[in-house]
Amino acid sequence: MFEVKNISKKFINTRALKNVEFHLEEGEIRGLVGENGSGKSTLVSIIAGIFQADTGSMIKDGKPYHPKSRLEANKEKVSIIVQEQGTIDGLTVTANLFLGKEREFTRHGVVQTKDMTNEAVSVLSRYGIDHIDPYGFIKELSFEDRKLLEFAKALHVDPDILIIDETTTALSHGGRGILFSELVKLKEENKSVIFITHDLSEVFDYCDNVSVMKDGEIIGTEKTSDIDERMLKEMMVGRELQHSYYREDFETNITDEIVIEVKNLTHSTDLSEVSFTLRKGEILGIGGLTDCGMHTLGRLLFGLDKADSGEIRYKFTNMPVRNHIQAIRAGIAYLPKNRDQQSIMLMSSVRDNLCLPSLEKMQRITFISPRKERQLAEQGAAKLNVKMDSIDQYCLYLSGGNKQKVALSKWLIMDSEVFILDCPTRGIDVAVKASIYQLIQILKQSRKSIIMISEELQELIGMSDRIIILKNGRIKKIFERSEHLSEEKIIHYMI
Amino acid sequence: MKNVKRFIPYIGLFIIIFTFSLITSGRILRIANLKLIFNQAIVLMIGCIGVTFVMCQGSLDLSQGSLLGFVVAIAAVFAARHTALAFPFALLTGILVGLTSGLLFAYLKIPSFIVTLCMLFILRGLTVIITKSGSIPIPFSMMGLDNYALKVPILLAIITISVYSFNYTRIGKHLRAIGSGETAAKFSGVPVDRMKLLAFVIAGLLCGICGFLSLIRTGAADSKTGLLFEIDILTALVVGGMPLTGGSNAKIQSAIIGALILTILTNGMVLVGVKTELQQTIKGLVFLGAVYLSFEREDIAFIK
Repeated sequence: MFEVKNISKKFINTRALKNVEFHLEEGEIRGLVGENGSGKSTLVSIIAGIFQADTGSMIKDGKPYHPKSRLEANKEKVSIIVQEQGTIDGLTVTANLFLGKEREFTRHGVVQTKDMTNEAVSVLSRYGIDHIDPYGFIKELSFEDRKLLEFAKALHVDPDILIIDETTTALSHGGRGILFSELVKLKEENKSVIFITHDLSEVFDYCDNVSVMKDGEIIGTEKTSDIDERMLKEMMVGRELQHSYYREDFETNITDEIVIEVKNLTHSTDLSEVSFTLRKGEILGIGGLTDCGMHTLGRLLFGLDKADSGEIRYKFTNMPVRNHIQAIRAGIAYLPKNRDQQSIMLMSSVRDNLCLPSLEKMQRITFISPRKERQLAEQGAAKLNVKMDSIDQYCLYLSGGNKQKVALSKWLIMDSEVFILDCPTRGIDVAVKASIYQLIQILKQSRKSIIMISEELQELIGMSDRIIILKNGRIKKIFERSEHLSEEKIIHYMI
Repeated sequence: MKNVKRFIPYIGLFIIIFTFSLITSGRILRIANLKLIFNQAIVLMIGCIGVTFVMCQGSLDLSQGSLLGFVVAIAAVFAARHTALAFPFALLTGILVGLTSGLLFAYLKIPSFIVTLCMLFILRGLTVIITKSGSIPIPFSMMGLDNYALKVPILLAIITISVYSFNYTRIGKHLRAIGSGETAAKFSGVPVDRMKLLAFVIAGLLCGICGFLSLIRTGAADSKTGLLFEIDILTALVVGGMPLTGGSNAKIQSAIIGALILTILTNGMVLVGVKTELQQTIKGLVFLGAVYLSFEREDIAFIK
């Protein structure tokens, strides 16, 4: 029903796609997986009309199909939810929903705003997101609501083919529920879906078939009923996985030395009366639903925000920690959740990104030696094996996983004592994930303390010495590391 | 392609010197004319260097022209009391105005474009009041300061210090980091607000020096002193290769090369006898050409 034939695409320096062949049946949900930079997004962008292929052709329902823009693709009933933000901040919800389709609402040359809003209300309620105000502006919406709005927009096209590019990482359990129930409906109507995700369990839960991409090629397509997660991971990485994806030991092996002590921490509606301690050499997992307050907790510990009441004692240092700058100086590292906006300067070199927190340590009186900077940056990049042309390359041109490596590495060369990692493996591929888990273990062995905030229960269970589960800003339960811990046991306390 | 773009300003400077040398059969390179170019370029160059610190962190400064006029007026008023007061008061005025703009921008979070646009009006208004719409002459003895023994070392010192602090200290690195990504810079320990303030203070301080140099050259403060100076600075910087978005590609060299290109272009056109009206048009075309050639369209598309 839909075919991609022999498509290739080259960007300035890199070849993104090599002779890709792809068939999609009616009523099929197709998973598309692969490491960052393997060409998944490029392929679906071509199908959705965002990019055009250099060579090759596409056929939809027996006819040639070559959309020059997203709107043209929409007319052919193909729509996409992109990985990045696909909404426009300065416009209202309604205006975003019908962007480029204003003509349908035009009478006598004037756009009938009222008709448009009415239609928006019905669209929003049809897809179960009627808590979004059609008059509201995009920038007032949470990231999740923006994504759900894009989803509604894509569905409103009544697509034969819906493409979802790594959207679920941005969604909470509720949002995912909405998304997946619509996918099932599409399948029942004999429509097709191309679904890109890094969460392999979603592939097995919802997809009929899964294609694996590597280095711009599709290296295999399998029925999800024929394979298991381990086989799929091995296909993606291209070699047999070692056993140590997560930690294998179940002895917690922590000192008694308290590094950070938190007492009755309360912050607006996000956190109330939270108390716990972090010990030297401990991996402390913090889990819960997206809005349970765990991200706020990370910010408070790093000194970005001031708590309303309660106190945080930084026992590992004699230096004062009243704000994030003092926190960095004292040896706290923070990896924010939103990588491209908060932890990486995209338009700066790998070197500038890596050296930024260490500049103060590096300077002699006021002088910062370029030679020392280069050495430090090269060390940092080598520590996590960042794939790059040189340390002068812009971070913009690195893949997602490598950007995350840079974001982590800058704290390694700072030699921080406490690592606050907010969703450290969000949206990155299996291979980089594995190296980040390995790094966290090395940090633990060298007696650093780690707070790992995560929305993925599996990694919390796999890595943490203790897991604190937050619900509505309160500590609901604390789990000790154990072989018998399962997602089912924990999830009960989250919802 | 990127590497070529980096050299466009240098190539442009070379082409302009070469072309005018041919047209004027070498007159542009005579010692007398080179001195003239130096005297015309020095104020623009120092102004450009100051604004580089502001622009590299992604902001704009439109108040430089009015600030120059204001500094000159204040300095002239104090010079009338004692000639030794002119220089310190020129610096002080520059610093205080820079501090004010910086505070409004960094701490009250008013966009730099708006803050400096308002400053443009406020300071011009004050200048007109101080000079009573006319001009204030300075004591004749001060005109003697307008010599190379003073001006060459000042320029060299400013270039040296600014290149050093821009490339080899935290000031420049932090400011460029803010231009590249403010939140990421903040989360990596850059004191964002303090650095933004500092940038405006530096720009104000250097504009104070510009004011003093301009006063000893012209010998009087006028209500129109510095008119359109801010536009010349922006033009020179962009022609010199300064990215409008700031960030890691900002360089002090852009200020120096840009100021030279703009000054030599104007000087050459005068030598050749191009009419004043046409000069403006040509400047505009050069500006447009420079932006067309050196703008990183691709990168802008990525930043969105």
